[in-house]
Amino acid sequence: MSGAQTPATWSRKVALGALGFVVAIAAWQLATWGNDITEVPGPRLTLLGLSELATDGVLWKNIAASVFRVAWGFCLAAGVGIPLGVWMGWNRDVALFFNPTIQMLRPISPIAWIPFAVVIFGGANFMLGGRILFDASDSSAIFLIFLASFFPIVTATTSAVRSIELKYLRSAANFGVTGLGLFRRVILPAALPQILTGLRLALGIAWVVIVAAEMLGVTSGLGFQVNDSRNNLRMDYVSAAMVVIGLVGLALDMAMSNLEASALARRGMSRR
Amino acid sequence: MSRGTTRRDKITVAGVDKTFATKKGEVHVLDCVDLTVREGEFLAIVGPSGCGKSTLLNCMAGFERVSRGSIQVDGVEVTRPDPKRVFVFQETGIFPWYSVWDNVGFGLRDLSFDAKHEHVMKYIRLVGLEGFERAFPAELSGGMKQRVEFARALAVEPDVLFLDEPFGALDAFTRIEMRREIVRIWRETGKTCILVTHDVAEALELADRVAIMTRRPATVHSVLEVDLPRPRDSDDPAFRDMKDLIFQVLGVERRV
Repeated sequence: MSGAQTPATWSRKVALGALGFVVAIAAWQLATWGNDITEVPGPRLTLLGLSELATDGVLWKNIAASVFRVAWGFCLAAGVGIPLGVWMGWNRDVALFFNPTIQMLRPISPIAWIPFAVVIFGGANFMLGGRILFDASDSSAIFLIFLASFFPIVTATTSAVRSIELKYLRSAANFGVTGLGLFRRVILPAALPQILTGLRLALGIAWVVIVAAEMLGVTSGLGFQVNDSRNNLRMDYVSAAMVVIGLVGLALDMAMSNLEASALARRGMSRR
Repeated sequence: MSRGTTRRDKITVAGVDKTFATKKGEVHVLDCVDLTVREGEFLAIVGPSGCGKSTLLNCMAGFERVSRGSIQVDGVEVTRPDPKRVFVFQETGIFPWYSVWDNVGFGLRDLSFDAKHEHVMKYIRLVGLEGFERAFPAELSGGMKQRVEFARALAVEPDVLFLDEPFGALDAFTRIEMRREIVRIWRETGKTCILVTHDVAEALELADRVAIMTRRPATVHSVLEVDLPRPRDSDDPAFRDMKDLIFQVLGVERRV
């Protein structure tokens, strides 16, 4: 269709989205007709498996474990990636120093780091104030999530700071605003939209990676659920876990996208 | 404002050269520019697009350093931007992440909230934006944004305003309104204003004197005294004669 379309109404969005969903479920049902739980299960078996896992309680424990690891890895990556990105965006020499290394490490899938993650973090619990903050299996997964989200965050932040319009920086200089004030009042708000986009992208990647990260050396999480159910030949639990992974991922993305939209709405740059 | 006969010199530009290093070698933008701006006057700088008049303004504001020569304000060499001399940008430089109130108060520090509020509101009223102090720039029209930028500049009570084609992004009607507005503000506050524009009529409507710059590498060809009474009418014969004169100096055929 041509580009000159009016924005879709809410009811149209819901109706077409629901229709597409129903068609996908129907196709799934047809493709898996007559299968039992040791083969690829259909939607009905998946739903039954899902309710079993939910009543059992193990599902909630696994969701919590995955979200916990992603939250830690993601926040650590943001905590390191945003300051480093601002520094790289601000100072060309800093960017020239770090960028080749970062761009070389970036295409390496975090999955490839799993053997090292287990070797490095597999034997120690992180203690804080005498309590276990995260155990050894958490640590390696958190490290992988950190790797997965760090590169998109640092890259987005660098480019965000570098593309701040000169007139804003000159205005700040003109009014004698420098140092921390410049960072807080001009650089950060000017770069915020692009940083938020980077964070959203990073969180999406992190959620994809967590499932793989939990397939080795851990005994909880949605990735573990998938792997463990496969070993027990309960393919209905596998597909049920997949549905949950999709739903949680969708919820995370919607949360980030709301954050993004509310930060942009005020300055009239909202995309919706 | 009484038209000064013995106004003292505010800004002195002497023998200024500016070259930029690019990949294709050096670009010579300004060539031995001499110019004097008197205290409290409205000076316009006109010239063909890309001749380097904005570069001259950036150097005067301290955003860029001259390659040779000197620029002095009140006898002191300009080395960096200063809140005493505020730059008004071509497309507004107000911050989209701040409300009108926060934008106008951006340059104000070391004030209690009450004192700051009173000060900010004074300048919001001066530019006629009362009632919009909580609005964000995205909710404002182009002319209103320009008013916010003027208020932000005036709020720090500078001596000098640098205006870099401040009306360029506005529609024709808003532009006329804003020109009238800037003349009113200039007369009320007595600031020294330096306007860069490629619009000859705009320069003649606003300025006490018009400096005419040549093509690149640019120099100041001559400075024209505009001794027309205000408010000025661009259909006035004396106005038209001056316009013709400037176009002649610029070597531009005015008629289409």
